[in-house]
Amino acid sequence: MTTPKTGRDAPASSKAARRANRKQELAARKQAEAAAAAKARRRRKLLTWSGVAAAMVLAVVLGVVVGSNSSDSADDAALDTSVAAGFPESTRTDGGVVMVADDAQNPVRVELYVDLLCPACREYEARVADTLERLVIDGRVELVVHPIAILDGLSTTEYSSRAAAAVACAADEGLFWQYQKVLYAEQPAEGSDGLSDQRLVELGTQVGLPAAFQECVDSATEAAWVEQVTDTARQAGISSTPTVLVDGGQITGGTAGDLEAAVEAAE
Amino acid sequence: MGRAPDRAARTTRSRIAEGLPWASALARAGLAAVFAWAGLAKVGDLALSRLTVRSYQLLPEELADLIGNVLPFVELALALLLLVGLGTRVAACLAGLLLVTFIIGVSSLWIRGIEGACGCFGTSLLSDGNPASYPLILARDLAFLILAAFVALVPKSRWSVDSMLDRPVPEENL
Repeated sequence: MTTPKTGRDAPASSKAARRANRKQELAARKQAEAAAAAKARRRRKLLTWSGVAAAMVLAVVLGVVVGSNSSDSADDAALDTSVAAGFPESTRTDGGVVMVADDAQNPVRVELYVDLLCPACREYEARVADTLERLVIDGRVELVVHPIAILDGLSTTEYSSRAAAAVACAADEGLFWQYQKVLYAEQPAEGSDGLSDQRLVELGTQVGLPAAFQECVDSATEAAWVEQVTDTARQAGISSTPTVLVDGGQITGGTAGDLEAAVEAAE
Repeated sequence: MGRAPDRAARTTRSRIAEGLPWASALARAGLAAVFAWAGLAKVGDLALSRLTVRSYQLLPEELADLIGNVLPFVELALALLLLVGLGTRVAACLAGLLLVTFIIGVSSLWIRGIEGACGCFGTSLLSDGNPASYPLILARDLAFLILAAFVALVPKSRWSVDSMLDRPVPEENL
């Protein structure tokens, strides 16, 4: 507060001067410490923000790069709607569509519950189709598909029900599996209008379905069958798709390897 | 007269002050584990991650795919930052922000009555037959959010890079 005048009255003020010096030193040291602390704070801020920013940028770049290299199996399969040679014709029962080799002996029963509007069903089919076709052709698996309609609320035209009825018609002509593949390849988005009945017929013609198929789709007689298959599934506690049963037991692994392992375990 | 309780209060306070960095470190590690788990579960199957984000039906497909690709890596990056304690406050805030969007997403599934997997810690393509329990998922996310908020409020923590950086720089290094 007061600056001591050291020149005058030396003995009395020397103590005060020393005190003042010490005060000044203390202040200087404090200032230096504050400056050092400020510098440390700045350094810390710089390092933390650049660390966080680097981590986030790296994450985004990795995601974009790795993601673009891992296209959906379904995307790759969009063009590939071919079915392995020797794959048996489909037949329809009260509960589903059955595909089994003529010479199969004690095949393991694999059941798929699918809704044709469900993107995960499309992806699953793309992942396991090759394996499944081989297992069926080799007579190791009896494949039963239950086309159920649980996503009618997700299209404006009840596409799930219409598509399930159409695959039922295709099943009667033996070409269920082939037809299902083209329906997956052209799967409409959830929330859309879905494919028109006319388009469903066109796609059937593409895989070689006869005129009887068109009559079947137009007459809409299979709606009742779809309803029955859906109700039966609901009663069995199946509320979401895709659900896969191997030898009656539900499997949860979503790869072709998981499916084959489950079949092997059941053999 | 009032001195004894005063001192007691002070020691309690200082004890809390001493304990906070440890609590923060613990919370940080917990949060890091949660995000590491979530990220690792998704990162191996990005196609499924994209499908899951799409299944929320909240975003256009391209944006959903981008998020599906990036989210697992962002979760892993946040886990790493939280684990080593670098930029703890920012990382905790980002983690909290993510959790808020998860809570909004899951709530919207619940409200719209969409029966889907949350995909929180990755999922299989196949349903496991158990319907998603939305209240449980939301409660869990809320607990994680509280953890993130605590770390954001008490970012000074033991065993962190931040605390090492906090030490004043020696003069000669200035």
